[in-house]
Amino acid sequence: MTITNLTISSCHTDFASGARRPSDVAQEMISVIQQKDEQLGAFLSIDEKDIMRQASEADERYANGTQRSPLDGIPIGLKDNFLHKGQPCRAGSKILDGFVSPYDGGAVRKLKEAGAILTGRMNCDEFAMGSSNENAAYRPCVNPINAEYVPGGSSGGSAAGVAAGMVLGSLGTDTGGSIRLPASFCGLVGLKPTYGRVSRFGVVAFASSLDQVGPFAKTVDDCRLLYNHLQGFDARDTTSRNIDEPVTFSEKETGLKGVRVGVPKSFVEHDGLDDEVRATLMYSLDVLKSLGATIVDVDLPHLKYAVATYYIIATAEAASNLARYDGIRYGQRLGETDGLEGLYRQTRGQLFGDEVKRRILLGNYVLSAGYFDAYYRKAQKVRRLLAHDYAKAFEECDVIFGPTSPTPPFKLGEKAADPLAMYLSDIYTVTVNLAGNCALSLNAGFSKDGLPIGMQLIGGLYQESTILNVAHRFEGAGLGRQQQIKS
Amino acid sequence: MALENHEIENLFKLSKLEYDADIVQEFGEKLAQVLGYVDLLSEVNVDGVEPLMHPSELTLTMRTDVVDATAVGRKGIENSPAYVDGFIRVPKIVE
Repeated sequence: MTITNLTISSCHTDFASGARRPSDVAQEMISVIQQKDEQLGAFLSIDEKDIMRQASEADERYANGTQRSPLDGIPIGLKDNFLHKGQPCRAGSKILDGFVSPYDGGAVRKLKEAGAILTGRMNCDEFAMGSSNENAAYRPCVNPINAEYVPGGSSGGSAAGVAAGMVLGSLGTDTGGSIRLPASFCGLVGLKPTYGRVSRFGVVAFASSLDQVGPFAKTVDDCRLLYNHLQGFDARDTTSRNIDEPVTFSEKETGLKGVRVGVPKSFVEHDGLDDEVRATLMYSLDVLKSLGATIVDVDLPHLKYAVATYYIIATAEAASNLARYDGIRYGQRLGETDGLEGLYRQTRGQLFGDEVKRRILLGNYVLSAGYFDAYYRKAQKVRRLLAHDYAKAFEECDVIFGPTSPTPPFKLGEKAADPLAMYLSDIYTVTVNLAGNCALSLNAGFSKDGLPIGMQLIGGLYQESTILNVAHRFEGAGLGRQQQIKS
Repeated sequence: MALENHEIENLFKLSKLEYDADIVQEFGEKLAQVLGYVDLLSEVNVDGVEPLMHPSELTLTMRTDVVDATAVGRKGIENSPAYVDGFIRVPKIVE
């Protein structure tokens, strides 16, 4: 198996048997990054010396039998909004240029405890705001399957790096689909866990009631391994849930007998759903049926309002969270000679990108006196209706099935000038964040142009085990990226 | 939903973002487009519905009030673009 086709589990097996050493893999991965990343743009920076230091420590642990976990010695990338002590953290924004993380975030600490090798900072939309990675402030990132297409956003670098074989897994954040959409566009598995399941401590905040940390991987099993090490309580995140529930897969059970898969009418009948995506999903649904699943009709009657609700709540929270970037405490400062007001305005006006500014303006608008009830309060009420839709649907089914994105990956620049068209690509993902549920995207097939098409499995609150198990059995039925890896 | 230029300018001021006439025009158009779209919510009947502020409505957990290793101290100060002797330097505020 070549280095770019390795999975986390196959690599760990090789480490444990002595067939490979962590430092050999780390060195090869650095070479792949050097060869490919100038064109791809998955990384904002890597620290080769630090990678090799970590790898050498992992070599020793395997040599003396003290390896810590299946992630020990495995190269993992971090989206540029995770604090990793001593490393730069810019959240893909010019305003944070020069910021060095003074401590490790919760998820980073858990990966370190597991022995993972943290390889570098992965490209993303500025402050995780975007669906295509075209709002990246430092360099573009393209889809590794076809460089004319976007990798999806906002965690585009995290997805592109795994798909191109530069790392074996990565972390992203998902506020409205920012893990699932790039996973779909790059043919990967991407999991957005339940809100409160993974610590958000040490993650640059975008919209605090929606943000969640999750993994990217090539296979469902790799995704499970990463998830198992990320989930669990962290006293430093006040929204962290105090439960520890790692997921296991049953080796005996390969079918889906007794599993009720809900298909919302509003998902399938949505006007914007591309024909190729619809056809791929129908085929995937047949696969789930052939595995023994029972398909049931469910309804999410407020789906139509999800994107509007999301963009009111997310921008309101973002406008508040991003008020801290004032040119005083972090990163860069401009306009010092123009007094405090001039400093604030020039720093923020010149160093935030256009999409970030648009969202701050919209957020402050919907929060302002006179509009608060009409927009923000109203959106919070519709949010409850959406959460109620899910709760009701899960009385009828165990998992909800649907598309991740209404279309296959789109071309660079295709939607860049039209923010609303871009926002609408999140139609299938934002409801999950609004309700707090867990969901994953995995590859369901490819378009006639050879571009990946993802399918989404949505679970109820804290039902990661259900969606990962269903995904694992679907994957085992012989579809998707797993087959590419085997070939 | 169209916004008057003075409303857009006020938003830039409230948001502490510098602006000029071109930016006000450009952002105003995009903002109006998005506000027009989110007006879709006006057709939803929310009588008697309580706002949902947080997905799982958890009771926030508070850690015990003890000093721990995450206090960043000087390292935090050093992330400021301008600091002197452990203090962040700011422009003169009081004349």
